[in-house]
Amino acid sequence: MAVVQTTDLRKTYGSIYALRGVTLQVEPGQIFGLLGQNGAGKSTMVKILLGIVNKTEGDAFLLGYPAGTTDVRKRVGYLPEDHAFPGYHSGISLLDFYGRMYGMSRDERNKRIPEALDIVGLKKRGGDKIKTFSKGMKQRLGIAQAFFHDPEVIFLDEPTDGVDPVGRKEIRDLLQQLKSEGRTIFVNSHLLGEVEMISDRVAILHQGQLVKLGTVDDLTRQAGRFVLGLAPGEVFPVEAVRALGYKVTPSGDGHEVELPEGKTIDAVLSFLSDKGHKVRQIVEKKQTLEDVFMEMVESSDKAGGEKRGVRVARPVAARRG
Amino acid sequence: MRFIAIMIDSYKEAVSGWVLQTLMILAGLLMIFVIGLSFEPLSPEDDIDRQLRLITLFTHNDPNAGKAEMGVENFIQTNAPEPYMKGDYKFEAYLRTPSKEDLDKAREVLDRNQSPFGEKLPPASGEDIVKQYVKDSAPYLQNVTTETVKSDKPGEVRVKFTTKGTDIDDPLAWKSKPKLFFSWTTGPIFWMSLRQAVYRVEKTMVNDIGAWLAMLISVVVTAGFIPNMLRKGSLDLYIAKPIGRIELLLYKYVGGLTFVFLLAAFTVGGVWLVVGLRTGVWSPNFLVTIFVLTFYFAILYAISTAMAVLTRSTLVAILVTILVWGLVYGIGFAHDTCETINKESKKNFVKLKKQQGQEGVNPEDAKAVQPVPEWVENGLYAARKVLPRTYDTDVLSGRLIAKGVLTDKEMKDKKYDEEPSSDWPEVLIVSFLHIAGLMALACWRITSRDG
Repeated sequence: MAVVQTTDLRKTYGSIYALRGVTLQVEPGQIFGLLGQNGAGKSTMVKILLGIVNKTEGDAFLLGYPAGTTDVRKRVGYLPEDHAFPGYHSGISLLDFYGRMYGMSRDERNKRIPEALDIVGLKKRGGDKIKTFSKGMKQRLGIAQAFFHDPEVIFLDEPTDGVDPVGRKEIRDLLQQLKSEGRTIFVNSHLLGEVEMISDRVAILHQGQLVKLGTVDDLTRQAGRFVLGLAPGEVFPVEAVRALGYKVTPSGDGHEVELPEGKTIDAVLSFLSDKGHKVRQIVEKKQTLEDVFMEMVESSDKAGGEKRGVRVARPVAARRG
Repeated sequence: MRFIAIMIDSYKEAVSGWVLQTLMILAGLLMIFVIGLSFEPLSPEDDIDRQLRLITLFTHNDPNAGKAEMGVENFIQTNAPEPYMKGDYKFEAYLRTPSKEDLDKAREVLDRNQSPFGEKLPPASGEDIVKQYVKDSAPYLQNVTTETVKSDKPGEVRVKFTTKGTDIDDPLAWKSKPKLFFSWTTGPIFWMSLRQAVYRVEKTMVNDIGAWLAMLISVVVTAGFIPNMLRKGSLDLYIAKPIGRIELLLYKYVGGLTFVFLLAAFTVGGVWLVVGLRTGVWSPNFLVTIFVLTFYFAILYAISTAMAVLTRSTLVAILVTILVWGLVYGIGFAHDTCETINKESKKNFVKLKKQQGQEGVNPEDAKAVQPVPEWVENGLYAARKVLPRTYDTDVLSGRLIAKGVLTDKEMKDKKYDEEPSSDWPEVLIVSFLHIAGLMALACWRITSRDG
């Protein structure tokens, strides 16, 4: 059973289209990254799944239940973007409050709260009032409150916002650990490098539409480009390979070979072997997620899509803020 | 469990602003004040003399009053050492002016039986005035016989009084001199029976001044609970938990009420305990005001909650709540006042006509002299009946406290023997319907909007 399933999900705020028919599925045990520019509809998507925002059309299911079902939220953790924890709570009392809301017993709370604070590095400051916390500490507390009640799925909206590089690394490691425990993690972010490092599957939203969906490898693979390197002292037969119909350009110590339509790299490898060359390096060339994203945005805009900032959709609460 | 969680959260929010603690400290100071109260029984001589001297004080400031002086002399208890309330007394009371002309002037000013409608009545005699003032000063004296004492001064009237027993059989109903902090003797305006003193503490200090102050502060403190919950970044955290929006809102509402309930329980319970220990007056009626005050606040907090959900603004919630509170209370008060004025006017009119020898008064004639037009009174009456009953709750709780503390006679003196304009079931039902309507509006809004 899919943890998250949406079909033709749509959301409008007046005349603004926040989501335009998004269909996707997230399987259990994955880290799923939802990418997009600010206002692309990422937060709206999560808020619909959690019942914070009402959908306009389409279907959305969370853990098999219609989005917004109250009881299913016991099995879900959530860190919203721009969260505001009550300053009168300490880290411990906040988690105790949320633990009661989740129906955790006193024993469970007493066990899980110190553990969670320890995991996010707040054990020593757990008794301090939240109003004395830095932004990074609040973010780590936010992550702790999202997982301390042992949820099956965790939604994190910009989890590394305001966190220093060391903290980011710790958060990435924590997410990997949570994944290894069998949880599903749904990360919203515009920090593409972060998502690329940890996600199993990625979706890219652009102006409310799902424009890419797949594994990170799938999305970053550049089909038909290989970098070949020969043994030291050998000269790459550029003209001869070009004569075979391939495009060749120098790339670092090797050469990048671009495959024409309908051809594979095998013909080039056979040719090099027949000529006595020793191939020491063969790498299928990839893009970064950022390259994919920028390419997607540019092509979308060129194709007549609306320019960034012209019709940016934000959830109502966020716009009012 | 979730209810408890939100209760604790609301409590922490209230405590974080130090307001709850401040109010509890104020309540504690009130209890210390009550602990320090002590009462010394007042002799009838002091009682009558004090009141007649007050008259002297007023007449000396009035140039038309003939420099009148009143007082008592030769006061003796003929059955000493019986306690005051079982005493038989003999004394002389006088009205003294420098001359016969001044005495006539004084009679004009001191006579209380003049018509409020302007008709000039002949002033009462000096002896009647003295008798009237002594009777008003010590209405508890029984079997009173009077005898005019001839005075050799032309401007003086002197009456000798002989009394036997009093109509008071409850030592707590006997007039006393309260002392503050065990030793500071109070002035004549604070002299009252111990029961009345308890009534003053419970009604005036706690149910009136204390409750108004606490209500006002509570409106301000609790008005932020819901807007804080609804603000960006906070509501998402609440709604992402396994709790419905209506449940969340209602729990927050009850959380606010709990804040006031705890405060009222601490203050009323504490004062009740201290009063009981100090005076022996243990009135369970006073404890009921814990629930009355909470109900009163429930009306105000429903307004605040509806405004908070509709506007998400603490300031708007506070301002609208206070405005509506003032308006609703003002309408109840205005109607009550108009009704009393017109009733008194009618009563005086009938009395005057009777004095003029006319039996049976045409109601239309009586209406014609009413100071407040009938349409104004009727309009206020209609508004009072349909609006939330904050004023009536206040009036009925005052009556409830009085009933638990005062004697029947004291109740009558305070006009609590008259039927109230509304009764509890009516007040509770009308107010509850308003609370339900406002909460339904708030619930509809919180479920129908995104985020």
